[in-house]
Amino acid sequence: MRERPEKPEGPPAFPLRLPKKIGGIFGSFDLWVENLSEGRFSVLLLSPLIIFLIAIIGIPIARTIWLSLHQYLPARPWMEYKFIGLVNYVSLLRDPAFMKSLIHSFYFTVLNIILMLLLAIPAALLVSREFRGRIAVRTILLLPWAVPIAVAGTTFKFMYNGEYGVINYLLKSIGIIKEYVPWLMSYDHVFDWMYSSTAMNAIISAAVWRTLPFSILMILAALESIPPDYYKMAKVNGANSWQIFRHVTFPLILPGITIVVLWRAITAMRIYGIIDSMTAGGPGRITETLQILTIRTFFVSRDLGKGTAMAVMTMLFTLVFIIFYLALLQYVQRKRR
Amino acid sequence: MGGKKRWICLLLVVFIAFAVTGVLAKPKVTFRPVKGMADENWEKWKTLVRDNLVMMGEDIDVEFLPGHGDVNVLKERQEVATIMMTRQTTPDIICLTVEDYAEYVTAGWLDSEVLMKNMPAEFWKRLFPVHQGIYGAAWGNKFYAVPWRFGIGLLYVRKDLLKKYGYNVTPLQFDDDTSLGNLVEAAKKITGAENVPYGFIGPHDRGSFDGFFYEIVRAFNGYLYGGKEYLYGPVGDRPVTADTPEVAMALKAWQDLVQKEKVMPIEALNWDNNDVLRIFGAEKAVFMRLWNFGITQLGAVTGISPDKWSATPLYSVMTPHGHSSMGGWWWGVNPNSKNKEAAVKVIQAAAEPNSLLFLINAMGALPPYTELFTPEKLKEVSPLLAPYARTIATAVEYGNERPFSPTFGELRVQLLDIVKPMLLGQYDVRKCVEDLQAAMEKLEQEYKQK
Repeated sequence: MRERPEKPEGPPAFPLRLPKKIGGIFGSFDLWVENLSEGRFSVLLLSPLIIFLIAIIGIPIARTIWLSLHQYLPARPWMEYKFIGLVNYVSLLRDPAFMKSLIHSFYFTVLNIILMLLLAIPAALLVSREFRGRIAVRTILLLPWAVPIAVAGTTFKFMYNGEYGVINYLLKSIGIIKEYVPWLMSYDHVFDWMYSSTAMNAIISAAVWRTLPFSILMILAALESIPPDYYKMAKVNGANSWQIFRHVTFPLILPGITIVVLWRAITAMRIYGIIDSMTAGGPGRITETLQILTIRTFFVSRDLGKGTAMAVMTMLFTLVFIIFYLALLQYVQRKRR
Repeated sequence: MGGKKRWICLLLVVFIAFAVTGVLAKPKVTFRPVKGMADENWEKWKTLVRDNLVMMGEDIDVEFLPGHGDVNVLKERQEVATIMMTRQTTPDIICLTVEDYAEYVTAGWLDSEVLMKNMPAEFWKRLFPVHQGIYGAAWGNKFYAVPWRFGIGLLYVRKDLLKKYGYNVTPLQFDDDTSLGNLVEAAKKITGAENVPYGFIGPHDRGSFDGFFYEIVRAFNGYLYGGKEYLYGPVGDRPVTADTPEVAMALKAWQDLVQKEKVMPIEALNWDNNDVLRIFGAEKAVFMRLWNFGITQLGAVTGISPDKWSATPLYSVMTPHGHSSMGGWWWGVNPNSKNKEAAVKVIQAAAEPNSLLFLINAMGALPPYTELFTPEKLKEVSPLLAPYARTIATAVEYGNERPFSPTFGELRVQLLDIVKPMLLGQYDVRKCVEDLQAAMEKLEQEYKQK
């Protein structure tokens, strides 16, 4: 009788006894994975997530784009659902209301970002230093983030009220204005030569207040990752505060600033909650942004084809904005080198 | 029996049990309402409807789904549109306002057949004892939904202050003709002398907009709203459109209230029904335009004493007999519903007199039964409403036809865009009229393509 060879020490190669065929499949798979490059192996591991994202993001986006190429008015059954190509897009580009809402959205986004950075960078610099009460100040700076958007919008609406608002009261008390201003009912512009509506500016102030904490956090995180030795070396080399900020701090927090700008660009272009709670796009249509117009087109006109075309255009304009910003950033960085 | 056969028999029994249970199960009707009343009243009213069903001998389960409040009509409309566009089978009954009616009908979102088939003629006769009411609620000789609420536009006046300054308080009947000039003069005198900041107030926002507008237009020599065929109804034998002199005059009068006479605040353009109710109730205005629900709600919500105010009816567009209209709270059956007959029974249960009488106080609603509006009957239900019995009864009898045009909903939103800037003085009346006319023509063209 032939002796059985001794079993090697250690755990068994495979815990189950599989039929030869299946065992063979696993073996081939094993070999294939071993031969993959690192990049392809990463893709393999990420593939379940990719499939999931395609399912919950990709398919709806594709469906939205497909719908935008159709005439679809469910509340008017005599207007048949049919493929019309780019007609919705062409009609939007010719629609003065759409173009105005685009300008309003860009204005909102650009001014939002500028104000955000002007406030967030100093605030982050302040709370990055050691001083008494730093934790309390940090907490207070983060509080607006905890306020729900509708609450923030409604509160600011009361504050900006033209008859009894606290902002009017304070500005009149210190002599900046002579009479109460109907901020949210006004058609006035700051500059006559460009869109700069008083009502929209009021909304922007509320939006900046609400989203400032996130920007401060991002920039603070970037600030705290700067090694202190850099500052020491700069001081040793005789740099003053402004020079330190310009040549040491600012370049190193630029990635954090980039995140803030990109995040704000994406969220501001599709802003809805704060505008709806403060003015609902009014007075008239002077604070109507792309998102407000899109929702109105969906739920008032019930023109789903056009509404989805607007949504796609919003996405494209946001992308344009982001690409423009990144290109500008690259240009600035190349110049610095 | 073999093992396999045993399993098959068991599965068959289970399947039959489920099928029978499904068939014998009590029909359940889901109803998505706009509440329109305080929570405790809402609970009481739900109980009334359920009790009525039992009295009718109907074994139907009614589930009231959460809906929005009365002032969130826009949000509610969005949700109903989503339900209909995605062809959901529930809720079985939906709530709508008058401006939704024509749009929902043309979109096929209301089932008329089940209403006409299951509602006896006697029901409709009882609900609408007058020709005008029936005419107003029908669309192409069919009913697509049932309206519960008539509204009357009233001018609420501070009779304490008016008397003090020598003005005869407008009587409660509607055969007195008051000019806008008189009211403006009174408002200016009183706001100048008393601690009352506002002359005229009226709701302009979120669905309240058109009420004041067309009353100004009609009561003070103008026309805007009209009958079924036209957005702007015929006057005599000619159709009235936005560009007729009467409309321009009325818009100018309204703009003057805000800009020239300064008796209406700019802020009023952002106010809705509740805001206006509270401001008048806080004794901050001389005149208020609001619907009839203010009669029962003014004191209850704001605490103002009834000796300080009274209300006078405003004239209707189409009749000289006082103005009323089918307001909100129409109930329709979802055409995708799987419980249509049961849904109709629920509607019938809610149409019982005890349920409708309850709504008078709970909602400030005026059910479309003129028989309810005798001083004696109203005294039992609402002492506050009783003095207005004749006013209300006649107004309900001569219910004006709100424009049942499918474009009404969209035009209403555009009205806000077009008329508000005009009221703010941003552009003149002529441009406003041109924009109104253009918007109307565009919408009518789109709808006429059917």
